[in-house]
Amino acid sequence: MKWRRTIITYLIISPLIYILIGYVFYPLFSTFVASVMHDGAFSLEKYRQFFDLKNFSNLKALFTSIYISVLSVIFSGIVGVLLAFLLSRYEFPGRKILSSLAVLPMALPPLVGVYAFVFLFSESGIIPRALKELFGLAAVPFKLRGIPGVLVVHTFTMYVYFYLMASTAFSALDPSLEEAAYNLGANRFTVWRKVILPMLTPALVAASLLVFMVSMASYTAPLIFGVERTLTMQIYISRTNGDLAMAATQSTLLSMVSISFLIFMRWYQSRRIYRSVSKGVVTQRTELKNPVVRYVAGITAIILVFILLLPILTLVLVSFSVDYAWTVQILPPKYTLANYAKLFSNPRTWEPIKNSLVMSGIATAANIIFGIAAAYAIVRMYFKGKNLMDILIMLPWALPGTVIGINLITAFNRPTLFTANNILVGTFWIMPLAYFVRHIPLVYRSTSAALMQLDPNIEEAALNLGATWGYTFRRVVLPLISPGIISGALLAFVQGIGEFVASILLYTPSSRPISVAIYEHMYRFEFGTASAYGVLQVLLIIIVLLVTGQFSEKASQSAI
Amino acid sequence: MTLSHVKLKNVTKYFKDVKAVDNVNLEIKKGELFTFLGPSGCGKTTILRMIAGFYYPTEGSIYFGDKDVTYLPANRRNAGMVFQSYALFPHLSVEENVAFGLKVRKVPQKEQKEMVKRALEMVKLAGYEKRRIDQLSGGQQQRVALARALVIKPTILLLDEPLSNLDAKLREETRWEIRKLQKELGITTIYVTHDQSEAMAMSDRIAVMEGGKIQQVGTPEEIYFKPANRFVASFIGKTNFFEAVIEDFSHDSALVRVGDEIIFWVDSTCRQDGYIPYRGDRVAISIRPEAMEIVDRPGKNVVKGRVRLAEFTGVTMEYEVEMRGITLHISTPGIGKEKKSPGDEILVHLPPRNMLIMRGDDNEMA
Repeated sequence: MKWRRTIITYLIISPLIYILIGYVFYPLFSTFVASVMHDGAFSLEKYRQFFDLKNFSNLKALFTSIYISVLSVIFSGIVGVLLAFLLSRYEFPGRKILSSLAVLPMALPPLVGVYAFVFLFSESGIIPRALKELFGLAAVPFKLRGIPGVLVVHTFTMYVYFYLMASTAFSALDPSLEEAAYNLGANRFTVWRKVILPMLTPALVAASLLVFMVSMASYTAPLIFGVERTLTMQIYISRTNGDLAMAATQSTLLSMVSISFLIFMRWYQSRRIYRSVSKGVVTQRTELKNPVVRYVAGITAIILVFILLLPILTLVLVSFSVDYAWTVQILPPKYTLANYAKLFSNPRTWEPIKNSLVMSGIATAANIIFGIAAAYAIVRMYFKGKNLMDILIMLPWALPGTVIGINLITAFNRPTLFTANNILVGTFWIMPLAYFVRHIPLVYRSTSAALMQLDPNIEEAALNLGATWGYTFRRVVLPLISPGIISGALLAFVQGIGEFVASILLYTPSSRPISVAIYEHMYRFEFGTASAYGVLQVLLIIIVLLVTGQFSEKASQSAI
Repeated sequence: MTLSHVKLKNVTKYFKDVKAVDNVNLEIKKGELFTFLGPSGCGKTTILRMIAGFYYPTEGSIYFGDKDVTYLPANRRNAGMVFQSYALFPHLSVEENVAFGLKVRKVPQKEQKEMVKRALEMVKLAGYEKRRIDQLSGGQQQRVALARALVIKPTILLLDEPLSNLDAKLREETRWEIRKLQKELGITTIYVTHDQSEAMAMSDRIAVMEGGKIQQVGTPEEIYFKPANRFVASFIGKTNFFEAVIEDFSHDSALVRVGDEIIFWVDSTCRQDGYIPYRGDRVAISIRPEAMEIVDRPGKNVVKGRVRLAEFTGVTMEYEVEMRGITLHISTPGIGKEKKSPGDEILVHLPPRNMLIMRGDDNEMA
């Protein structure tokens, strides 16, 4: 009898461990092995090549990646914190709409988001051409490309991390602390330096680390703005050139950077941080009274709302344009509904949608089962190696999509124990597997958060009333944590639908997903069709964000 | 069925290296309300959870009647429990919450409905069947939890600080209701609380716990008037302690000396259980604040003192009195006697039957 619980525990955790080792650790390890074993012999040749000072293309890529990431942190930090400060401290016309739209960039799938910026700001983009016409210039006044292009896209999408974390920190900041400081004779500058900034530091450090990681992992923006010398691009290029050992080496080095950031972040967040000790904080927003200031603030808010909406509006506009018709005009000249009709009626354009739905659906189903079991094991059970399991679960969160792609290739391009002696690379199954691995942390997190909210006494009450463990789990635990499971699963599902980075490395003709189709259509100047796909993705994401309440202010606290 | 209903034999529980419960032996009688009382972390809830089956003892056994239930899973013990947090199922209605245990037992629908109805009437919640849990007040939730535990006709009822989330007035009301219900149903009940007045008011017997060990088991009167040791004396109600030396001890009275001058007569039955004092023993004398009286004339066991603080609480007058190096807290009825003020000289009588002689070294009660 005494051993019953131990047996149940191991029945649950052994498949979890098998999955984590087989699909997270083993692929990572295979990549490492592939980077040091060439033709059956140990060799550091690829590392020597990477750090070769005579031919420093790889080193240059590493430095470019770091350079872009540092600037991304700085720019998105400035935008995010400023916006969070204004929205949480001041009341002005347009504040509400601005604050509900501030997280809108999250609704842009990576690939589609970058294309929207291309439509808007590239050499043939709407705005440079409009300015050229308007002022009768000989050439476009500016064009977005290269590293500046990447930085604009990064700032636009990544400021959200800073915005969310800083908003949470601002709302947790007790205004009476500031008042106390003023009361003690401090001036505005001193209050900022000595009171507000120190309280914000944990949020700023966490957001910086996160943006740095995401930016190092960024692949789509460099790809489309033609910045070849980033680490992620180099991995892709090595892979397409058939130099898997080099791709593995680059992946290993990028993983090392990402994992050390993950470790640093966990360590930082586990430290004691400042917290306001006061309870029931109500942040008072200062009403802007001066009519001129109000006027300026209102107009600024409208402009910002417009800027936030612009990429999506552009996408919608282009999605109605006739393919090949938009050449030298400012806006697409001809419009049609045919793009959308075609998506669903033409088998060729429908297939990627079907593929994405099926593959993301399979992956999400697996994520749900794994997420529930893992969350239950970690939150409610006692066993040795729990910490290690926790780290393995969070690992895919730190790994760039490109790296996960390479890991799966190096692991499953030959028969393995974990694939029942099948070769997965080149089959349909590698894609759902990639989505599954990428979204393990997401579904796990939302499920375990829900489970942690659940009073453990509730389960005990059910047992006490005579229910078996299974009955309790089905009738009590599952219904109560299902909101958490569903919101995590829906997010994983839509992210799977928009997945591009790992897909581009792994897809086969029979498993071509939407994002790869968009890429191909764009390549063939079929802007209308590509954008229609994109709008579809954006719509799905917005619906899911609305359903799961990610747009509410409360949810922003649990976003990270 | 034997008279003892729940029996704990040499029960010890470790959490990692921490001994939470230390060799507890107990017999709880059929139909009695038995309380585990002690400060937080004393091990009382751990014992309750072992009886419920949520923890298994590291050593020792637990019996329900003659049956060894030490390792019986919680869902097969038929012990109804009311949790401190109530642990109601938030996704179910009041009715569904109460019916949960019946549904698990596969009681026929019709009978279920009837039983739920009766249980809700019993806790005065008839008409609340369809309510959601979050639409109930704290007191109502507590009663739903009670109905849910009682409806399964448990062999024992376990109550884990069920009143601690209620406000003071409701707490008093509810404790009478629980006690009444318990007596009516004649159900063996194990109650856990840190509130001594709650324990005193409700229990047939109390086990006072500290540091994982049982310090004393007894009726509320025994525990109040004959605390087994200093911990029990100070945990149950307020008390004054002062050091003394035995001058003489005979079958009817003892003579104790406090400091150099004061001599008290103490009834010789007023001593810690199992302790026979000898002349010259250093002892501690315990006397309750309300056990002393302020008198007008000197006499036997009357000492002179000076009032340092005087507080009127309404029901009582509270004094802090200094007399020859010892400080005593005295509590007298608020009405009647004239009020003394700080600085006043007063005469205090310590009745011989109201004092308790305790062993000087308090580490004796292992």
